[in-house]
Amino acid sequence: MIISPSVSQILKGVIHEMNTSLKTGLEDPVKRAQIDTMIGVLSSCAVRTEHETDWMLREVSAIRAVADKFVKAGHGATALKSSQSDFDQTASPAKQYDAASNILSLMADAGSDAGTELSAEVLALMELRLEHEGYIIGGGFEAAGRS
Amino acid sequence: MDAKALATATTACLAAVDNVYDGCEITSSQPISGGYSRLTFLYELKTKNGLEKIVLQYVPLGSTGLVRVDRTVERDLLKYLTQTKDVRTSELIASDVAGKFFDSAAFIFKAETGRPFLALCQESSPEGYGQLNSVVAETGAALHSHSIADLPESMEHPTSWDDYLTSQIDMFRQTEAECKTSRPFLRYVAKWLDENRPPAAPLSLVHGDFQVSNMMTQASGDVSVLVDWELAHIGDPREDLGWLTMVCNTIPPDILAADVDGFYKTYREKTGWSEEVINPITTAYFLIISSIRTHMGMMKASEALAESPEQAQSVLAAYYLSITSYQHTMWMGAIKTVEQSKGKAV
Repeated sequence: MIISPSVSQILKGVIHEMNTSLKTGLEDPVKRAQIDTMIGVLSSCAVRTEHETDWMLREVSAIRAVADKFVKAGHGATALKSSQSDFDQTASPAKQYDAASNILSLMADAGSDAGTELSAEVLALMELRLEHEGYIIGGGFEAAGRS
Repeated sequence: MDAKALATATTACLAAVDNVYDGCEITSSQPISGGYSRLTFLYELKTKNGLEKIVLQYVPLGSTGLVRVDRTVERDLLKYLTQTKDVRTSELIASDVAGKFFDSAAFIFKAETGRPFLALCQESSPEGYGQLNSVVAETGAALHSHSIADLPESMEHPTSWDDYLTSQIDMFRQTEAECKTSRPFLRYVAKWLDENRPPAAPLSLVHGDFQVSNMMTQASGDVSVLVDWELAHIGDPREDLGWLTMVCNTIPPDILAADVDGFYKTYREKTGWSEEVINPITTAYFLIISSIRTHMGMMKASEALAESPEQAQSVLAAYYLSITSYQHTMWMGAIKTVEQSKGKAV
């Protein structure tokens, strides 16, 4: 199969053409907003296709490490313990990510009851996820067709 | 409905409410950008009384609206606001909630003669932001000071502030529970909101999409009109301040950030509410609360897209993912703001 240019590079090329040939001279504000919306979607896809799998596995590993500490400290409810023990490391990255997200939610439910240290570790996991989402939306967000 | 059918339905709908519109003709039509789920057109009409400008807001059939809106409630509120004078809004001329003339809900307003407030902000030099900022504060204060006792019965009237806040926090959990896969941000934020409740404020009419883009100036320039009431409800007034803060971040220029102290001073003076209740920290809390209704809609749209990619407005549903991530960023930033104000290390 042909893997060069990469999906990300192809999408960036499409975005460039939409920004230039398609938008140039187009006065209709609704159509311009629609194109901006599509450009926003394609830009996010370009980042996701390049990094998504690595980022998912990075988060999975970090979440499971903190979950171990929760269980050891006796903070984990039965659901957390079983989610950890049933975790399937041979599953696809997306399935592992879904399972890890469930574990992260269970830890988030503990709130301040988990104590200062573990709460800080949960917050760090949320921030790691936020960092990845931030890259996907290009570090910020500007509403399409509103500026 | 296509543009021609919309124009035909508009004239028929108008003629049904006032015979001045009998046989009226649309002489020009111009789409207006704005909401992602509604189509808006500015029409010029030739009526028995001469030329008149009107605005049609139409929700296309099958539209992926962010929030499931009861259009009857929206119509009742618009009628009420048209009659009352202390909350300024565009005059509703006709509506079609039952789909008698249109295939979906539509509202027809008298066009405002002033300019979009956003255009004034964009044209202003930074020195002028303070003046514009106080117009926004006064507009919000007038809206929130309006008595809720006379609002239409079709609107849900919460029994108490505590119950209302609890119901809003529950929406985060409910949204998460309805998703096919777990959404940790919703669970994290729900728990945090529960553990960090702010002091109560009087329940008020909440616009729900209170932002500079939904304001028009009147001809004098210093008085503004609020439009787009589809998300209006009775709730905590600080929801509007939180939403305003969030949107100001995405649509430059951020006139709120230009003079935060001035904004709150004006707002508190006009409402008579204390600094303990109205301040940037309580606004940060309600920035999170204010976005759950749209967040819920965006979650549903993205779940539907994953289920069936070939659906109406699939690009919009995909675009919502970016807004969702942006809201996550704003939520976590708001949490940091509140925690820092309490002296906690974050």
